[in-house]
Amino acid sequence: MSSTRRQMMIVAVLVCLFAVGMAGLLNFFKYRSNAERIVTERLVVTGKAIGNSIQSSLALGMQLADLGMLPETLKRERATDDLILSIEVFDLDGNPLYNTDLLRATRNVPADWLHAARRAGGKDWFVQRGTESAAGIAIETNFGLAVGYLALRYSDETAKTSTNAVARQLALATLGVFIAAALVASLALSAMTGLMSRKFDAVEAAVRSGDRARSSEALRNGPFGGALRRFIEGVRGAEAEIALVRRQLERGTAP
Amino acid sequence: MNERYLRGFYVRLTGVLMLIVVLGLLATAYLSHRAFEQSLAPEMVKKVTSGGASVRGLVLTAMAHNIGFRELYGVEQSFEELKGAIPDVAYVALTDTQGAIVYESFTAPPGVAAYFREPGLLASAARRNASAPVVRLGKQYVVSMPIATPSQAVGMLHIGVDVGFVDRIVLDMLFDVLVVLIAALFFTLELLNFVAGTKIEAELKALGATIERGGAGNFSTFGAPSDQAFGAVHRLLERMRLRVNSAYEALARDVEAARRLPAHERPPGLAAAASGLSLLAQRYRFGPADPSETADAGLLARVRAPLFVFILAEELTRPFLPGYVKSLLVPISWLAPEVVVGLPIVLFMLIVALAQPFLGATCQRFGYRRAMLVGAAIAAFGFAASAFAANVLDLLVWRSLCALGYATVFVAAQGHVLEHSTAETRARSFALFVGAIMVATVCGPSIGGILADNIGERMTFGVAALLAVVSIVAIQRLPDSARAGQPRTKPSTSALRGIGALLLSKRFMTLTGLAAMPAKVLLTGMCFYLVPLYVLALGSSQTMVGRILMAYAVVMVLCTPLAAALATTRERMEKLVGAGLMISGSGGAMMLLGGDVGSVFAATVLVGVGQSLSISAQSALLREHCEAEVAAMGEPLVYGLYRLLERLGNALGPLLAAVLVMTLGYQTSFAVIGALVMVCGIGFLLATRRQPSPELAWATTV
Repeated sequence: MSSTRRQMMIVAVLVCLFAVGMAGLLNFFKYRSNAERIVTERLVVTGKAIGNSIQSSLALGMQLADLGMLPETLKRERATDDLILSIEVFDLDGNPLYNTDLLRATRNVPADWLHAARRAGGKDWFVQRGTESAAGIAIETNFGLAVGYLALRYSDETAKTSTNAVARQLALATLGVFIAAALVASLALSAMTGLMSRKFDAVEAAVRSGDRARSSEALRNGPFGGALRRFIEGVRGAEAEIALVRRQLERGTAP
Repeated sequence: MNERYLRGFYVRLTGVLMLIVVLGLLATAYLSHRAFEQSLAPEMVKKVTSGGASVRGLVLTAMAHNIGFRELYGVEQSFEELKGAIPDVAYVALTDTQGAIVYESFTAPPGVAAYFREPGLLASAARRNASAPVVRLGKQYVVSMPIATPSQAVGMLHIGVDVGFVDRIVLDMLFDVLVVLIAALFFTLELLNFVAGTKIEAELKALGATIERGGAGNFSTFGAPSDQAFGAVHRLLERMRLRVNSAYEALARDVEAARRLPAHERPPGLAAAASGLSLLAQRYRFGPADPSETADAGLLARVRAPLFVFILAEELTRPFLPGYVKSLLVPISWLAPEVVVGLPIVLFMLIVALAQPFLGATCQRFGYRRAMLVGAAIAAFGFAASAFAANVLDLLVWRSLCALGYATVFVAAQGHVLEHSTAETRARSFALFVGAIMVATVCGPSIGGILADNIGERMTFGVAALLAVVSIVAIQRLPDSARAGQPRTKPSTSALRGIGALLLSKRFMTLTGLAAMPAKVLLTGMCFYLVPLYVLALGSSQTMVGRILMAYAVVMVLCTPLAAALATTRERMEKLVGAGLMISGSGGAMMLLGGDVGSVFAATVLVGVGQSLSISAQSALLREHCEAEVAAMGEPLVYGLYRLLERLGNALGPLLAAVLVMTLGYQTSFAVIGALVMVCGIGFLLATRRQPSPELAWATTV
């Protein structure tokens, strides 16, 4: 029975590992996706504020490439959030128009930005690639015609740092819960297996004792109930009949 | 009896374990909630601060144009725009330098007016571009942003964020945790069965058999029981049987010895004793037991774990496969994209359907264990290669390998079950086989959806490959049962003639064409093709697809035994099949009433209910309907063709759905497939409507 008890404890540990581990993993994934969503939405909120201001200027008949106030607006907005590394405005072919980072002002935007922007249609788009991560929006005229894109470049390392801290916190919590659950479950299953073992021991003792009253009581409460009683009675009956035939053989008397 | 005892023991073990797991999951959820709140709240504050900057900018622009703070126009509109951009915003207010509310919108948290007048907060109003500390008022976090021109402080912008955003995240997380809990429940049962159950079950069975035999007067000996869980009791009982057996043998020896004595020396009671001995031999059984009575049930049960793990690997891919194919699409001029998306599923089902009849003989010749090993290895390679697929064309090749592996493992496991079961235990053995598959269909899609959403489809294929490898490890524990050299039977001319006759048989085709095939078309067309694509098209997640497919499997697990219990007569079976088709078809048709995720969920549950009603009755009905064909051609041929056509229905489903989506869109495609199945159900009920026999018709007119 000790091997069964050990196996039950293994079952308890494995089930707790699966359930609590999986839940911990899911919680982390859920946190990560929500944290990333909040960060990107925050950038998009800033981007949309700039986009609205650009759209107002375009509505007055100005060209996207000739918005004199835009560099100052971009610089101001860039300063409001330390997550933003640069704010870049580029045309539909990826040619740079405005950039708060002067070192990047003459470079074409990364190909994956342009690809993501085009694939998103008029919707918000996101690229995650280290310091080249970006959250972007399409710049449209009042008639819904896309004339360019605005991207807020950020480093996803900053976001990852806080994610890692939470991951550690969640991992510790999950580990603690796993250890507690596995311990309690192992003890509970071990106790239940022990209870079953004791029932079998009682049956064994009752059968061994040969005491009819005691064995009847144990058999009634035991796991095999009536069947075991039939077995015992069957054995006793058969033995009695064999003894009777033997007596016939030895004594030569009729029953 | 021992089965009932074991089931009770399992239920208690599982119940206790599940209770502890639930408590563990609740503790995890509580701790995660705290961690989320602590870490996400500052991120949310930064987000609303970004949004608030535009409102603050507008106020400052107005002030620059010498518009008084209390005369601003359109402030509430800008508040509305802010809430439109950030739906978590629950309250927005502008206060003056004294903390008096000048403008406000939405729901004010309790105590907000007093908080705005706090000296500490008012002191921060003078600092440009600074944010006051965030405070929690009632159910909101309130962020306060000073509004100040270079020359003077103007007031403050306060934005309240509903703390419920964390609760919503945690609630969504709890749905996933519930899925984990259900999967854990089935996982527990499988583990109990795999780690301890097989041994305990076999030992309890052996002990029970000893008791039952002894109780029935069978004292034949089986040899000493092994050192097992209930060994002491078992050995004691076996000793008692041995004692009776030995006493009988001694008596028989003595009677025989007395017979051999000269007549004058024979005991006078010999005749009576010989007669008593003969009576004893009639009433009881003595001597060594028949070896066939000591079959090892554990051998059979051992196939369940590898089969479960292997099928789980395939089931993981269900919720995300169509979406994955869509992401790998390349233009094929002569095929519509919708059809290309369905191709990997069609090809998979087609290979499984066509390969199975041929694999039966091959696996038997090759040995079931070896065949399972090879099949699982092929599938593992297929899963791993699918993870690296460059486009839909090479994915087709890798999925074909998965299909070949799946079919091989399926057929070989089936063969293993057949090999290790007797005619009496066959039904129970197949329940074990089907049980493993059903549990995998409950756990697989839900876990697969969650994994695909969080670690990506390619990594989830990697997990599937890993599971297939794990199944290989478990398969290695199976006994080798190679039957080398057995000739493969080729289909004879009479068999081909039989197939032709079956295809023309009205009775056979009524059940196959109107019930079995449409049921499978609905299953694969709707559940495996339309549901994953449509739910993603609605903007929902693969996790949700997994939950929906899990609901289908759970309904099947719960309802199938009930339906099987109801299917006691031919008439009832026919009604169950017809009703099942109508109910499952109505699931598809009801998509015309609503097109949201909830409707898809309800539709899939209806399909599950309908399928569970009809599936078990269908197989049983085949024997009832085609009694003459079974008698003439044999059960393997009739059932083989039935299964082949049924599986071809599996392949047809996604193809039909793809063509329908291409022309009619998603919702109508659901409805059309559902309506087709309902029509088949009506057709089936009409075709099987019992005509009164001529005698009975005559009798009723008298």
